[in-house]
Amino acid sequence: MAHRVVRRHPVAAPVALLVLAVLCLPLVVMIGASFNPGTEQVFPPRGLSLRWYANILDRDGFLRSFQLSVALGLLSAQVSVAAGTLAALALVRYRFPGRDALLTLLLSPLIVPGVVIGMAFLVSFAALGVFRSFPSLFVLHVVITLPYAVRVVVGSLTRFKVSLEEAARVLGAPPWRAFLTVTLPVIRTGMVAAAIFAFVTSFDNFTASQFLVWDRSTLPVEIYSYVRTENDPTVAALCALLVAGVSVVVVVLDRYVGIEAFTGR
Amino acid sequence: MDGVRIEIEDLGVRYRDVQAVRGVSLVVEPSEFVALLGPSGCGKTSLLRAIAGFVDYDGEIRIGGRVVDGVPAHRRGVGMVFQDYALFPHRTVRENIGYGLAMRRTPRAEAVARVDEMVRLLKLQGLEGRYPGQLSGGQQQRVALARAIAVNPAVLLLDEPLGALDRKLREEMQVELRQLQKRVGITAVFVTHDQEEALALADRIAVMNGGRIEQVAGPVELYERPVNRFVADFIGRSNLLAATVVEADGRRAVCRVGEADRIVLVADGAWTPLAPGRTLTLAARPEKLALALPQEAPAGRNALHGVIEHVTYLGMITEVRVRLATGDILDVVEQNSTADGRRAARHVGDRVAVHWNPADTVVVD
Repeated sequence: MAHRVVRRHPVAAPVALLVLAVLCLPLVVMIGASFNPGTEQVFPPRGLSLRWYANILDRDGFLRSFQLSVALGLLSAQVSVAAGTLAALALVRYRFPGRDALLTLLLSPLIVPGVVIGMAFLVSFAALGVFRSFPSLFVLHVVITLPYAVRVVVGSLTRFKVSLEEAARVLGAPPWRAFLTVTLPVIRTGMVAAAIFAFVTSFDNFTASQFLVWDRSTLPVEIYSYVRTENDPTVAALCALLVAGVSVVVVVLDRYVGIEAFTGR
Repeated sequence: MDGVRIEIEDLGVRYRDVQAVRGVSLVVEPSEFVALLGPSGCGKTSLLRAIAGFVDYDGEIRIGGRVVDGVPAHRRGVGMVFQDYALFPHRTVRENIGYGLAMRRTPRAEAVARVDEMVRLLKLQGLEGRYPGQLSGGQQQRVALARAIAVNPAVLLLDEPLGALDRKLREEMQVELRQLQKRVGITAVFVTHDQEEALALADRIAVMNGGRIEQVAGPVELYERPVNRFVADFIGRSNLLAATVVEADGRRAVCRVGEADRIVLVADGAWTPLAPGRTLTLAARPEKLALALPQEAPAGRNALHGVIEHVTYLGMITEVRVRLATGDILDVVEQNSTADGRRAARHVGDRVAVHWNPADTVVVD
């Protein structure tokens, strides 16, 4: 890339620092508060204690809901990326009647409010006699994460040069083998990015999910119900752990996949 | 290795509402190198893609005597080099070249030997472990060629193979490509819009326009004997002249240009007698024309009279534009100095006779 001379405005650096501070400060306060030895959530903490971290483990509600959220995230991410890739192939490679309608339909969960989606699923599953969290939440999360998967993979496939697949075919690869050995590896980065978006969207979802917690609840719903009744730094400790976990994932991804895959180049 | 014959009969390619190729018939002889040349949208790429099996078509294609209609691309046994090379970005040079062999389940030792052979043939030693993104344009081009011919295809198809290279590299690769094709002896068809490239590379050139083949001929014949106005105009430069036949017999015809001037056409190979009164379009190349003082054109040559309108000195040559009494323009290219000495200077406004050998006139319409 050509070098450009960037002349920095004297105010640029202070403004950037301010924005960064606003972004980070709540996290710093929360992490600090999680080390309080007492029930009060103050910053800076009055001492250093891991008491509330231990409390997370004592309440198996957090652990069980964390497991459910992770399982839901992994499963719905895989299913929506698989389905989203097939949908993206149809949308990018073919022109057919109803194509625009299909695209709109696939992206509609982005627009329809979560409350509406959650309520619609609640009524539907109740009518079907399904009163179990996992299957109903799984279906819900696939629907919610599908738009992300479709959008990211459509982007990858649009950049993908069809001549690569044609080259594989003249070299003797049947269409499915050309797809598996050339197309898939080339769009893999996009698919991984799509899966991560999908996982995060699923893991994070509260609004729609709260309607479908029958026998088990997801972590966001569990946190919400805890905060409603208790007032101690347990949730702060839990969130500090999540921040730590996310940081590790980001570093690992940056090393092996490249963070550009997620910022959209 | 001996190449195979490609026979194309009455081929038509249609995309939704566009007829890209119409009624094309063409035979490519074994080991021949044929160029499909034409402006963009003339159907040359569609014709190539039909041979490769990438588009649906009407008509028949036979490769080595076998009818391949309905045979999918991966079973046609052709090699192809794409305009953008289409190298697999996630595979090394070695893996790219070996891809076709892997698809054919070639035994490992044999595949390795074949890839090594290709690496040597295309001078890619030392680059085997690189990824396409780490190669220069010329190197990518050579990898694409190596990959295409590694599987010993019956024919090699090339879609604007040198289009993405800069001029100097393109000229080098032209020579290399030509030598490689002759050495391997493979039948090859390549698409180009660059007439110089077609003239430099091909044994024969099929000039295409509007989905049809206008003329198929070797470079010399195509340049010297264009069969119609499009070819005369598309290949090199041509002066076009309207003329009316005055008298004709089996060997020659006398035509009138404007009111006073007469020119003669002589028979070439395919001469059909021209009826007096018929109007023709004639073509003559600028470098075949010469200038003389009025009324001093050498005997036995066609001569037309006019006034010099513009003179462009270009070092080796001078281009002189002459306006005839009829209003027609003739461009004349003169060598500035020959072994015999320098020729007279040309001035705008001079009255001149433009003269040429009757055999260098071509009827194009």
